Amino acid sequence: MGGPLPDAHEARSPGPTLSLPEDCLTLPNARQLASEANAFDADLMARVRSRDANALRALYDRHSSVVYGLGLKILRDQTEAEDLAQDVFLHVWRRAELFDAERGAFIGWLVSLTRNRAIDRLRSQKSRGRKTEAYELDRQADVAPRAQDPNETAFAGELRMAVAKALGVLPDVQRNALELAYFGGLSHSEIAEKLDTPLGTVKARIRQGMLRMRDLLGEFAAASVLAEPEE
Amino acid sequence: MEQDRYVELAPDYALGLLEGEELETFERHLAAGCAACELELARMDSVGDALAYAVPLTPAPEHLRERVLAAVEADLAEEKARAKASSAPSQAPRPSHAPTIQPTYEPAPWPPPSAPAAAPKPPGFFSRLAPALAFAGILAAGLTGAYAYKLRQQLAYVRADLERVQSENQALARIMDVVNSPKLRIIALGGQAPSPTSQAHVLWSPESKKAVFYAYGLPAPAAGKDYQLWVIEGGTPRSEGVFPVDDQGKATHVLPEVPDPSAIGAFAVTLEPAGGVPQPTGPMYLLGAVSSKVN
Repeated sequence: MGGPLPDAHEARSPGPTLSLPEDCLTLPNARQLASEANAFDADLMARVRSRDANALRALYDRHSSVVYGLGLKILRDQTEAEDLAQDVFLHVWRRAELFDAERGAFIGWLVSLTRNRAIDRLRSQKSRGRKTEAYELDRQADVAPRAQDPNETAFAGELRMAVAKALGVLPDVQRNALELAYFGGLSHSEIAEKLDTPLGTVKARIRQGMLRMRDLLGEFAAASVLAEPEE
Repeated sequence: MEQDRYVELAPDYALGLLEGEELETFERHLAAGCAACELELARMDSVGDALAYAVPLTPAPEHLRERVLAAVEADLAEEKARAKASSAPSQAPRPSHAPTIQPTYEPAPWPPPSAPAAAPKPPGFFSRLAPALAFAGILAAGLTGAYAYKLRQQLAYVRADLERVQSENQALARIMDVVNSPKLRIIALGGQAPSPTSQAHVLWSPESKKAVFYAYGLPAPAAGKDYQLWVIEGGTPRSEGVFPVDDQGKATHVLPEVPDPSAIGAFAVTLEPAGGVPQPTGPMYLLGAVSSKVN
């Protein structure tokens, strides 16, 4: 099988920028953007199952920034992040049958896969006694200068903006707890120790943070997982 | 635990923060079928996925692209080569690293096994859960929640595999000893009545006296049961231990001391109570006679 390399670019929808009230971060065409991205990914995965290497290449082009970026943030090491990204995309290639478009968006599957494997690597490094840098919360000054990836989906770009805004709205204590939980691969007690906060308080802040993010992200949250928009 | 309390655990579960008893309790609760928790978990999963986009855009280095694509091409080439090799069943299988190996391939007893791809797959987690979800009438929301649950199950398998691999480096070295043996013997086991499409091989190395057992297409054993490998010498079965089967129906088991398969009449696998028994009692799943012919 395999035909000409599919066009990894999508027409960017001229939607409004996110200038809605802070407690209502929705983008009217978020569902449509997500739906288009999901459908394209699902199509590529069907081709991957038929052993079309071009389709895997297109998926790599569309999503490598997210996979690599997430791996780098969790593992704090470029070599490890590269190994992880290779690991992830090879898994996508070899175990394509594990993804079922009926059950959710490809990007949700890919991101979960990436994070789980990254945290596994982190934990196995720790258990092998390898010294790992202690996770430090990002400070504003550390944010990288604006980078470009022309192959990324329009949805990814919009989602990134929405998530940044939502996290900005969250109280610092909730955001820090969430960040340590999601990117640090730390347990409740490790987070409590790191933040010098009682365990119960940490648990409550993580839960509150997640619920608030869900509300803030609104349509983005729903769209990033579901393959089809809800009725 | 009250229902409200369960739903509260969904964010922690989505972040992979639940441990020990809390984790077990929550997973059992999900497996029993809970629409509210499935829905909440789907919501929390989507927040988790979105958090990956909290990372500023970080393009991967260009050389990584080449690496990944080259690895995929290599994988594809290997797949094609394997497909070609397996389409000629009368040929003896040759390990790819040692072209000088001349293994003895001994055909399996009746019935002849069909290709591993035709082996019955054990029922997946999702297909067991689907009826409960359908009856609950929340199929749309339930699908994503159950999918997330399935991912967690897979994560548990991956973690277990990781631990197993890390502690089995020695076993791997032993396997390589066997496979690299110039006088490698391969004894085939055929699937019996309970699972005719299962098959297995015992690879035996005369130099090291070690053997490796590989099985394919074995159905998942029922709860409280294990597969047990037997060596039958002079009509008497001797246990070589129990072994687990992965979710692809495959199993690997290393036999450390097999002096001479000529002294062995046959290898067999039966299904026994968990942990195994001194003498076989359960149904036989695999059987392979060892011919008296030596290389």
